[in-house]
Amino acid sequence: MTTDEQLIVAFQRGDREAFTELFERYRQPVYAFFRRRLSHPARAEELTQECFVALIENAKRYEPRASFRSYLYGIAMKLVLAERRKAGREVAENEKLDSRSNPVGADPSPESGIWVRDALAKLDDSAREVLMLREYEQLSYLEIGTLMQMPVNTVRSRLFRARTALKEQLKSVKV
Amino acid sequence: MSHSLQHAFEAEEVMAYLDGALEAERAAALAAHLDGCGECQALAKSFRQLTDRMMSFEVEPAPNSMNDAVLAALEKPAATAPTSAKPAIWMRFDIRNWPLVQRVPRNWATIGGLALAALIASMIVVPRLHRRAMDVESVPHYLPPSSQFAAAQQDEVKPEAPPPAPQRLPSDITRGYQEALQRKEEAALTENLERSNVDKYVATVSESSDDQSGESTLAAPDVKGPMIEQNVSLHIVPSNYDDASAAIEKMAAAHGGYVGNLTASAQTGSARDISVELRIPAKQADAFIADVRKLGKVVDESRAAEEVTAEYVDLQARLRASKAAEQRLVELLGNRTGKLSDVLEVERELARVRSEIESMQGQSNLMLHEVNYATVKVELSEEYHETLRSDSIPAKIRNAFVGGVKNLEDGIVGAIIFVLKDGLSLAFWAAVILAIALLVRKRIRSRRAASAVAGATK
Repeated sequence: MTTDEQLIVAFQRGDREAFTELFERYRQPVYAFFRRRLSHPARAEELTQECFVALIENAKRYEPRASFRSYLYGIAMKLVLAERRKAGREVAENEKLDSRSNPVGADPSPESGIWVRDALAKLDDSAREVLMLREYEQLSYLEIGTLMQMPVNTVRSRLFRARTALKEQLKSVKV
Repeated sequence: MSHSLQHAFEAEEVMAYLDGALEAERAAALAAHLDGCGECQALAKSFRQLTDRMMSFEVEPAPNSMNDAVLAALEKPAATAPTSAKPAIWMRFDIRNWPLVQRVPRNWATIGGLALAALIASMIVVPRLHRRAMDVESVPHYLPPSSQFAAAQQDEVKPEAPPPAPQRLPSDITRGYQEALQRKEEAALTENLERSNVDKYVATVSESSDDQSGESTLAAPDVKGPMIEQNVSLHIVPSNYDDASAAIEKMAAAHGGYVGNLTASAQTGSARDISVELRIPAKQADAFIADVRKLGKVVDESRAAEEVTAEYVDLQARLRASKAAEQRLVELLGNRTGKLSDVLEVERELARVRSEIESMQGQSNLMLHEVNYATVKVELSEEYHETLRSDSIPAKIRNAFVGGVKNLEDGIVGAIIFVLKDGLSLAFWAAVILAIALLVRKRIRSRRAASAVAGATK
């Protein structure tokens, strides 16, 4: 199987099929990245488009020494931060993963995502972001550290703190 | 979630091991330890359960609608790239491309545009109409005689024919001289119009004295008696202040005079007074003063008379001499031919002499006016009686309440007037400034977002 890094290098050389393959691989993960961080599905869709368009435009800047995933999610993270600044007052709502809408429905049972989302919303910003990047985007500690510009040990300690806090919160939920 | 302090591995290391982020040697040791440590196994299990729980935060499938947009960008990257595709410069000046305008619904934008255009048009047209209306009413009825004379003079100056020019100078020199002289006279007329009201009045009194031919037709050519400037000052405490202050102007008008200056003061807790400077025809001055005395008790009266006969006669003599000199210069220019430099020299001398004549005529006419109109200063002071009312507490409360209501009323009326008079323009400029500020903020934010994306791709 061709790796992501090989595909992006091929795209740099003009292979459009390589990009199509990358798009197929990452369209859902990138959409999920935005969707979990923004309350409006339409905006998540728009930012996903923007993310891939930015990837197309800036593909030549990619250097193979970095992992493609950290590169891609780096673009996505910048877009989210820009969106939060742009949204002004809506920032707070988005950062707290607005509890008014459920991404997968309105199931209020403890097993549903609502409990997780509410628990995540109670974490501090940095710890929550590290945890989400690890659990949902499956980034390594090194990739998270590169993306968030912090040492690996800091990533690990924050991740541990976030998981501990989340476990404490979920423990109170009777499953 | 507690983990034994004496334990060989930290809970954080167990977590890192599960994440595959522990160093190989340490990971191998921890793997061996896990087999025999129930506490660490429980810890690892709790981490795995947490991961499972977090996975319940699912996301719906990505919509297919975005595929086309992305693939279209793949075909035409330059056209769709938000970070690098900059609009043409001319498009930046197109208001329809401004983000602020694009956010507004189309029909609102149309209505707003029309309203803005109408507002700008009204801001241009209304002041002009207002100014024109002011011009039509620019000779108010209450203007003092000096202003009325000035206005009259402006009307008279316009049809005035250009002054007679020397006629017998040869050909080109004669023509050039005539043109130069005409320009000078026109400039003098223009300057004359711009003088103060007093000067204009004086010039009007002399009527034909503006005759540029040099004939002396001053209003008072012969002095038959002493010329005296009268200054009278009266301080009166009238029996009825309101009636007296209202009557003073009527009395002046009845005697053919007018009010020059008027100053009134009415401060709370003290007597009111009014000071009026009146110009009364000299022949009517005594009768007017006699009437004024009847208004109340005269507490102070002074009268000064300054004879200006000698000055006036001297002035007239110098004026006649200058006019004679002017006449000779005009004749000189008319009768002789000579070099252009000589002609210009004579012309300069003629201009100087005429300037002197105008100045002396002005002084003469002003002097005549001072003589013909006596200056009467009347000061009316109300007799002040300390009121017992002010010491009464209920009266004070009542007065305070009445004053408060009055202040409220004044405030409301003032606010309404302010809104009606300046509110529209203030609102307009506030909207303009707000729009610019929002636009600038929007652009700064979009640039930051663009640079953020570009930074991420480096």
